[in-house]
Amino acid sequence: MARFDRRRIPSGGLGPKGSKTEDIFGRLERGETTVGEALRVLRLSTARAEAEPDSGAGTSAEARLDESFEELDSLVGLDSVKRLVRELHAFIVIQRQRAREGLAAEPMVLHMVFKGNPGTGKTTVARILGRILKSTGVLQKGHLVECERADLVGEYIGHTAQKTREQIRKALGGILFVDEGYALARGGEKDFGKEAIDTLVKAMEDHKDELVVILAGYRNEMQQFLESNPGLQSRFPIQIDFPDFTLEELMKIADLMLQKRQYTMTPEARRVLRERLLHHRRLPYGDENAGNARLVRNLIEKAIRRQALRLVGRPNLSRAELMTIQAVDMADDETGKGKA
Amino acid sequence: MKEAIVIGRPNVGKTLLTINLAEFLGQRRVEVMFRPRDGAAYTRIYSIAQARADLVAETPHRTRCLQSLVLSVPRGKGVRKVVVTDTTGLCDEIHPSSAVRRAMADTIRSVARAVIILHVVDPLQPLSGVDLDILRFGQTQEGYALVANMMDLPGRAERLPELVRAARPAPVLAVSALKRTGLGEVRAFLRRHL
Ligand SMILES: Nc1nc2c(ncn2[C@@H]2O[C@H](COP(=O)(O)OP(=O)(O)OP(=O)(O)O)[C@@H](O)[C@H]2O)c(=O)[nH]1
Ligand SMILES: Nc1ncnc2c1ncn2[C@@H]1O[C@H](COP(=O)(O)OP(=O)(O)O)[C@@H](O)[C@H]1O
Ligand SMILES: [Mg+2]
Ligand SMILES: [Mg+2]
Repeated sequence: MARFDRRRIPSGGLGPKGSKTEDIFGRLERGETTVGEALRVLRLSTARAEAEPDSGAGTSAEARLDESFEELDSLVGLDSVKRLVRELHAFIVIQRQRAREGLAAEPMVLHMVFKGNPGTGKTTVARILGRILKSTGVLQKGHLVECERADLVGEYIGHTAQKTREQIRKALGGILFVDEGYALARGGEKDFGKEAIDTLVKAMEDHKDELVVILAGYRNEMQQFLESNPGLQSRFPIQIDFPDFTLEELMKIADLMLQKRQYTMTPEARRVLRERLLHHRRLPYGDENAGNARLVRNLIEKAIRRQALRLVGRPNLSRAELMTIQAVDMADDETGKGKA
Repeated sequence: MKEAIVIGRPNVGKTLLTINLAEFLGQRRVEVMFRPRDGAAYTRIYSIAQARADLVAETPHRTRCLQSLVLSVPRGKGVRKVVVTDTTGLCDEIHPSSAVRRAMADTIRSVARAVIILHVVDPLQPLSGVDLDILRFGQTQEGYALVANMMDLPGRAERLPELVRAARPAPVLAVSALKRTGLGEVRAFLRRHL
């Protein structure tokens, strides 16, 4: 008897790559279109795919996976997050192999909660994760749709479900990233946030194989949010903590950001930057920006603009001058606001 | 491994054809891999008789998810293996059950990736609706054949010329899954496309 133990067979939930066809499968499942229509779309899209031979094939999934992991590794710090993402990837691959061998496979619920302060890399990691899930075949597109309470919650009855569904529709095949997710539960009993949560949960069931939802936000707020909605805990089984970056990590991030933009800073400029970042750590109540990489980016971008202002109009600028950020560029501006 | 899919309307004999084809190719048992949408894939091993008893039904929509088995098709001096996937029947209207809709979506997904498409029809029903859409899709593909099943029943043979005309340039394979006639032609078709 011929058996399944030799080679991979095509996986059940996955179809061909190509955005048109992905949409149509989703619509078919939701009961928004007929089988006949789906077949017609398929016929047209295969005809088109043949007409443009570069579509689809491209770089292999493995190559793209390697790239995504490289990008993940290139992030400063975040060691525990990196480890978790690798673990998750390994888990997915092995569960699928087990399923192919007819072994019992753990259900794969990939909805997550990212806990951490602003600028700790949550969105960045989510975006990379989307690409990893795409290369692994879990998601068809792997794109990230960022939204927040205002994108999901409406003003009158029914409006919320409609708005939420719209965001979900955009995210199908990828990740719906809800920033400040805890804010959904803000307004108490009468609030439409509850409706948004319910719609989201329903969509997570209806689109099990084509949607990953990530709720992101401050550690404590997310914790409270999950505790006050006990049903949610089990629906978001993966929880990842994004610790604040240390000062050294922030400095490294600054170097990387400058390098990418082809700038360097003088040792003095470096000292100034360090001092400005330290400022947030000295705040007695524990500034939420203490470990914020976005703050670093803002400071760097500001410095770049100020360097331009300093140099503009000067004759005979050397390459080195054009590249160098000096202490004056990095210094706090006149208003004395230290937070950029 | 290449994949051949067996598709068509509900209750036209896709499952019986798949099982009896396995038997025709010399298998006494089959390992069927079920790929439900709401859980992990699993496999079961059946004797041919058990498979017929368990998987074939007089009522439509017995097959609720992709069900694959591996067949060995003799080719030249060796054999070629092919995954044959039996699918959920397709219908014209939007089905009220979301489970059935998902299973149908999986069927269409398998259409998109299969190398070989065996489109099963009962010739007594004129080609219309979803059958026409499958046919039109198939006519753009190499490995598509229209399988006219139930040839053992009255009234079918008369409809055959009409089907042949409609299917051109795709081939029509006339079979009876029940009486196991015409299966040699199916084997030859698989062989040509493996
Ligand atoms: N007389 C006759 N009956 C057949 C033939 N092929 C299938 N049948 C009968 O048709 C009925 C449906 O067969 P299935 O193989 O379950 O059909 P299916 O297309 O897989 O149906 P679904 O999975 O429900 O979509 C059963 O009662 C079969 O015995 C045939 O060639 N001749
Ligand atoms: N580990 C890291 N290494 C380098 N840059 C980072 C890192 N984490 C975040 N950044 C950068 O910091 C900025 C803010 O990150 P983001 O992912 O948006 O944070 P969050 O979503 O947690 O608010 C982005 O410009 C991002 O490129
Ligand atoms: Mg963010
Ligand atoms: Mg069947």
